[in-house]
Amino acid sequence: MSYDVMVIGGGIAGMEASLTLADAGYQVLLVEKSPSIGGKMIELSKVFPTLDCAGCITTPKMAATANHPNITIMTYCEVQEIYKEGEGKFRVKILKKPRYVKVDDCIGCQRCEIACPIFVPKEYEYGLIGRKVAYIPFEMASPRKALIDLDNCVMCGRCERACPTDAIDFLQQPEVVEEEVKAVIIATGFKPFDACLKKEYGYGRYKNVIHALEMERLLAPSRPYNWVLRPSDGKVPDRIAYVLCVGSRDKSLDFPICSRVCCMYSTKQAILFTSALPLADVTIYYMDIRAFGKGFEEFYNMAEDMGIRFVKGKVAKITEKEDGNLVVRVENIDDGTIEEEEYDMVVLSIGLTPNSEVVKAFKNVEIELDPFGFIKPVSENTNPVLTNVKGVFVAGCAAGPKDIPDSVAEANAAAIQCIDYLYEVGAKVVVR
Amino acid sequence: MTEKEEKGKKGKAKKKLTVQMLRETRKPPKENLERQKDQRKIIKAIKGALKSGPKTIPQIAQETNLRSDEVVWYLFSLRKYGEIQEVEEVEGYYTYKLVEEDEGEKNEA
Repeated sequence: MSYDVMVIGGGIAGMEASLTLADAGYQVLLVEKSPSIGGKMIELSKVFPTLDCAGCITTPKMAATANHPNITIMTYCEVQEIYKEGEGKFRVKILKKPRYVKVDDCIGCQRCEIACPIFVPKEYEYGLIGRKVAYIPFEMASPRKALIDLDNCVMCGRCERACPTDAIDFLQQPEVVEEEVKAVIIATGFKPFDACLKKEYGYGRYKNVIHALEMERLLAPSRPYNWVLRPSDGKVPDRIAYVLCVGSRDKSLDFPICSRVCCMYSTKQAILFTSALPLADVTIYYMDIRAFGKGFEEFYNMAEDMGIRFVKGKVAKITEKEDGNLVVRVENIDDGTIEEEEYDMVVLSIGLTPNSEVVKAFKNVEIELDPFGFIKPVSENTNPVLTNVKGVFVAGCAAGPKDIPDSVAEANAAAIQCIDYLYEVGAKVVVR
Repeated sequence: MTEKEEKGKKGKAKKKLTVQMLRETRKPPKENLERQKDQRKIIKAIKGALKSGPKTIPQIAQETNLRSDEVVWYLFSLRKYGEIQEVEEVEGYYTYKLVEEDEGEKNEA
């Protein structure tokens, strides 16, 4: 089987680009590193400023991608090598990691998971709770198939004995497959900033300092706890503080760019939390509120009207008290005073950092990166989806921080530019 | 029984488990086995504490001598697998109880 386009990354941008290409009749190979497509968006609670359920938007997209006759999905696979052998000709090597489960036989019944005796931190919940060693990544995973994390396994065989379809196969080996494609779209998204690097905020040391993606999970309908609770002792928090621009606009980390989303997702989370607990006290410490998109300013005003306190100030330090409460020391920039406030929980609004390792897979051409490590488009204003290598396109956060609508718009732009390129190199459309 | 399940049952009856074949070539890491033992003890302690009735996380921690954050992690991991459920909120803390087997089946249905 030959493909017209390989899309790297199965998040919202990768799925959108794949669907646009597939609807136009092109054969798409979608390669995703993790065991399920869905990317970061499937982890979110709601989206701003409309407060639509993120899962309700993402799951139909995942199903459409998975069921499209022109899309072949390879999950739990990594692109290892890409060679450009001329215009419209890329030879790629893809590593298929062993799931230790025969995908065609697995019926997603979770009996292996229930039988497994070991808990390890669940990646989908950012380690807030555990998952089993034999597991389905999350409830809405696509494909909804189990896999076994052999590194943490005790090889007791309970999963294999419990499997009703004899799908477990501990003898699977990694496999490298070779494919030929005519064009490549990079949609690898972003990595959340590692909050441990801001030592003064105590993330990783203080249990009740969490980051915003953990808070997304706590607020999501499929949340790890029964409600937003403190990870230290399960208490319902009364007072929460948000610290904005953690890992963005920060010259001390050589990362001066704005995350473009942390103002609005923090406001959204504060609104969701306050809607459920109207008497709770939520404070947002910010440098600037960048409410630049359609409906953002109104969204910010709504948050203020709901009683969410916005304080212009840079948090200097967070310290922990014996009862797990946190003391936030901050300079209020508006009046120059130094404040020390006590909170039950602090949420660090982390920035978006590059996830561009895939460029190393290009062996005989070099994809240019910008000074911060994101994939550099030919021109941010006039050609935001073209890379310096003809036939290779970029979409979504792989090219820099952006919100969901911008990622989707860019994914469609990349697909359209890619169709233009395919036409140029003479790729034929399959009419179904 | 579905076609796949029937095929699986027949396949298993015939051959040796693949995990047994794997164990002939490599042993599970020692730390994984130790973790299994530790986890078994912790889970037993948490479930034991809940046998006498619903409790909050600090109450379970006090009774089991476990750290309260450790209780949070295991309690909610077990909750995800339907073994524990919340009862009510009392002064900022929820109480939790064990799910009886028939209750779990009812929830599943």
